[in-house]
Amino acid sequence: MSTSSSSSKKIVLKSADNETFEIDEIVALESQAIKNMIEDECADNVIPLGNIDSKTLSKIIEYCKKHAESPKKDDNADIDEKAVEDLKSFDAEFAKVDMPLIQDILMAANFLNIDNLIGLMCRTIADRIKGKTPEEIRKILNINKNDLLSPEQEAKAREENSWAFD
Amino acid sequence: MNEIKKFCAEDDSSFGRLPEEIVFQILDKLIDLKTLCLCKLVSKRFRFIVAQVETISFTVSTYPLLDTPNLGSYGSAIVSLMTFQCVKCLRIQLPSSYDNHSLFKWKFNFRIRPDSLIFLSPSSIFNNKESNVNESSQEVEEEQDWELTNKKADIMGECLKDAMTRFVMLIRIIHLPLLENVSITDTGKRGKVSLSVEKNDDLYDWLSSFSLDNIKQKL
Repeated sequence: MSTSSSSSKKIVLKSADNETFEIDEIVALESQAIKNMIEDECADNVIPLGNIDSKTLSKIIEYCKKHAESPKKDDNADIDEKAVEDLKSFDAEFAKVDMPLIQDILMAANFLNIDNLIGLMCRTIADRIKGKTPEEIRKILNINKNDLLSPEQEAKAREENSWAFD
Repeated sequence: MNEIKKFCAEDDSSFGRLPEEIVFQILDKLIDLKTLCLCKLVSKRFRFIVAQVETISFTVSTYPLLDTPNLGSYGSAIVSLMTFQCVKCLRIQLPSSYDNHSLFKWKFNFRIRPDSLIFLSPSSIFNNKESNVNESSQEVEEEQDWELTNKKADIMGECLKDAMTRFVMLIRIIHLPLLENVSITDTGKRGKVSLSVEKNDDLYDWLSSFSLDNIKQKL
């Protein structure tokens, strides 16, 4: 918890499984969707997030806290390189989670409209499927069988892109 | 489009729940042409969305030979590349055709026929030769002059080959409808071609006026 929090305004987020998280308003403002709600004054003290479970929500709060505390890039041209490096290594550590959680975070970040987090999760998924075969990618992402190409389509695509299998 | 929506509705896996613009953001970060082509086989949804990527990087592993009728795997790669009709930014890396250090720079001006070719080699090659020549007899000197001329001719040949490779590549990829930026370079970061594509400018008109067939006739 931040030390300066006693004076700042608090927001309470409630997850799908009814867990509540009290956070500083500044942390909640990392979400463009919550920011809009607060600005339009349509947010009560407690914001229910019926499609985000507590495990995902706590990860998202961890991310927003860190990013809210860090100096923003466009604030000051000569911000400390160390802060940038620190945030980078935080992001790298943050992304070391399993694929279902990454996808849950991505869904939630998309709903809450947190651009940086969407970017980070997309990059993480892209990095994990780079250099993999189509079969491996299906497995990594748990692609639904209904969405697979028909055997004929697959054979044709394999022939057209045979050079990529070398 | 409707077909795609239907797949999503049937698909309750967590990846299936991700909206199309998010899947696009993921695939648009893959960049590498080979990976993108493999993604076409992953699923129907992947195949549909991957065709919309805007940035592609293509690393050519074997030096393309222009005069062979069948360009082999390089040719297939170019055909695949041309299916990505939304690409705006394209980076191509060719293998370096000189692994020795016999060349610093080359510059080639040409329209339909070559105007000029200038190349710069490290002075070390020539200096060493000269010092050898000074110490040697007349006979050896002549022999080494001949060797030097040969070497120059070789380098010139390599430069022409490189320039033509880039040119032939450009006249194909210029037909990608949304292309804005192209850069071609080799693994040694030499032979760099950078091009901002602006429709209706002279260079665009000039490049798009060629086809491989009329090039072959003109050469």
